[in-house]
Amino acid sequence: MFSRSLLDSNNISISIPNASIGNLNINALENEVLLEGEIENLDLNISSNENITEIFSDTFSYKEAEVQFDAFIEDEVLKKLNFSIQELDVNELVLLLDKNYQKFFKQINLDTINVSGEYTQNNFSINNLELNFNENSQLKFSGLINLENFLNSKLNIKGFNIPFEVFSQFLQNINFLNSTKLPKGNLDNFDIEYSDLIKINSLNYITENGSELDLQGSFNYIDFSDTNFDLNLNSSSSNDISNFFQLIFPKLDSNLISFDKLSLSSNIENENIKIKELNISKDETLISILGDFNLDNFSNRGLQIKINNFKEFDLIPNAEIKEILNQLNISHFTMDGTVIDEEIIINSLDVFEEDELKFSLSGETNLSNTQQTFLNINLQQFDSNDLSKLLKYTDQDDYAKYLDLYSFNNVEGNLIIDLATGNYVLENIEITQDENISTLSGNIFDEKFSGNLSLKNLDLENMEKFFLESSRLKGFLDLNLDISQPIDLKNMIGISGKINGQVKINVKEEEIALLLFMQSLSQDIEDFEQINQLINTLSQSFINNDISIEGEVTNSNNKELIIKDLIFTSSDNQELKGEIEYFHPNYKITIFDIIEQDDFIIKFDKGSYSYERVIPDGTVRKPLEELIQKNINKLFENLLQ
Amino acid sequence: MKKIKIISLIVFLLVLLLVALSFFKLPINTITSATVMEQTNNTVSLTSSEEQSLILLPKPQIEMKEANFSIQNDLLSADLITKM
Repeated sequence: MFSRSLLDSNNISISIPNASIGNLNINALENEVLLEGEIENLDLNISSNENITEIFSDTFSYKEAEVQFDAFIEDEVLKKLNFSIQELDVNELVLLLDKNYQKFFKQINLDTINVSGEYTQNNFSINNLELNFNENSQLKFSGLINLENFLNSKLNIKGFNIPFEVFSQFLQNINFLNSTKLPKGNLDNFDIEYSDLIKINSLNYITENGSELDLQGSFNYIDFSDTNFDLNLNSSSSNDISNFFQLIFPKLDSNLISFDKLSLSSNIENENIKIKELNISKDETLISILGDFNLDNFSNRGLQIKINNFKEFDLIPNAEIKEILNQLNISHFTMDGTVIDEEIIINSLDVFEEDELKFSLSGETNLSNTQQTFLNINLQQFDSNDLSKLLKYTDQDDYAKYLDLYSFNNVEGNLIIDLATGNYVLENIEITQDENISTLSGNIFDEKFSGNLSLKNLDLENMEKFFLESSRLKGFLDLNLDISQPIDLKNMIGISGKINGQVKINVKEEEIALLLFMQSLSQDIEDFEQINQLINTLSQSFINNDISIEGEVTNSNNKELIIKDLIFTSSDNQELKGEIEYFHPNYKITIFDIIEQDDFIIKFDKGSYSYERVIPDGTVRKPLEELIQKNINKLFENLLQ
Repeated sequence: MKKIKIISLIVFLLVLLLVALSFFKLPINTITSATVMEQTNNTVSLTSSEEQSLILLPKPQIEMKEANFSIQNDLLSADLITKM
């Protein structure tokens, strides 16, 4: 229906109650799909003036949407188009889009769109564009799209309650991010500005498990430079935490990121991540991290790390450390440390077995050069079993076998390790064995020890088996040694000190009887009587009786120990003086003035024993083997006569 | 009394005339594709139409049946087919 004023030929009205629109094609878009649809109640007012035409429409209905537009045409060119479309089926809009952009909306279920704006030849100004997914879910666009150069556009995009399925599919459609690892949830709200930078005023994502991710900041979308984000993440879901970690660090073993709670406040500026606060916990384990690191070069970092009540040893990536912790029955540890580039500074590391502090550690090391390590270890609860395990685990079997000689309940003290100089300081080491406390202090340098050693209550039975390879001795010794020159197992010289203790020498009665029988064969009656008297004295006071022993240890030659001024005192105050020379495994025991001024010597050399009596001028008076051999010969001679 | 009757009759006749005129469609053929193109600055063209008629009441306007238009400019192109 056309109408026009008789007095004004430039204005006409057209009223179209019902029409269909077909072959709708937007020239600017590459779109093979030509739209069709029904139009109702289209009222147009067209005013023309020379080369200018303006077309105004009242609100009309297009496919159940309410549409209104005003067009301004000059010289047959559409200069400006103001429009408003309300409640249009979004799938219709998608069909209107360029086919290169339609894929962005692939498999996304959209509902309706409300859009109003202005088109000019160079720009497309969006006053308001609302994409509705369901009753509570909405995307809002506003701003200016530069049709000649999209990069000069300015847009503001807001979203509310966008379901995971929608934006996940959208992210996949634009090949931005594989979001399959992203925990399912809703994009609760976001406010993004697009101009020369993409600025995220706010972005809040809440997962189905209640985890919350907040993002704020900006980045240059062309080369991802000028990146500056604040990223906050709070989660009480172990599944979500695992998924978030794997999203950021895809190569990380999922077993290493099993935590119950996570709280992160961080800033990402270009390649640098600044962690304002990171608390991760599992059960009673709490890890707090502050500081920054470089995403491109993780070695470029400065992190302050606090670990409290760490029990989750499975999370430790290093198998050797895990094995040591298990071997030592460590239940948990607490640590306060700093990592600066490759340098690790441990302010304190307290290691516990159940509720008891086992040892504390402080110091520093360099990951790129572990020789630059300085550690101060304070031992609190460490028994011989622990030390044995540690020595065996570190392939120090030579030392471990010495440890079998002396089992102890606990060791306390400081061990200072300086790998740069190869120096180990043992400071005030106290070794507790029941009520006895032994002490050790000194220095290990170049794998050689020097210092002072005061060992209490050494078990003679063990020592005899180890050093003398016999089993006649019982009792305990105290050993005080001053090792002034550095020694090791191959070079042992300069040791001095004292030895004292209680000894019981076990000789069977049959052995004494045999000795008396042999001696009875002697033709030297005077000697026989002296020997007889000696054996009586020995058997009554020294053999199979508790005797006290004391002596002085010297070590003038390599690996040769001499115990001088050795005094054996019996319980009835009988005294024997002697000397022991030991050169592993051989030894020589001398008892002075055993028969008048004769010395009695027992030698063990290359697996065989020999016995001697030496008179004061040094000559061997009667080798006992010879005497016994003579006596046996005599015995057989008598029997055969 | 007679005047009143005459006036009433005149009013009745006028009403009758107006009612008659409101149904009255005067065949006319003034809207052409050229007219539409001229009026819309070559943006809209009338591709085809059936008969046209002038309707005087309630306001003077031209009714066109089965009119098909083509919209063509640098932004978009579309066909508009009217229905009765």
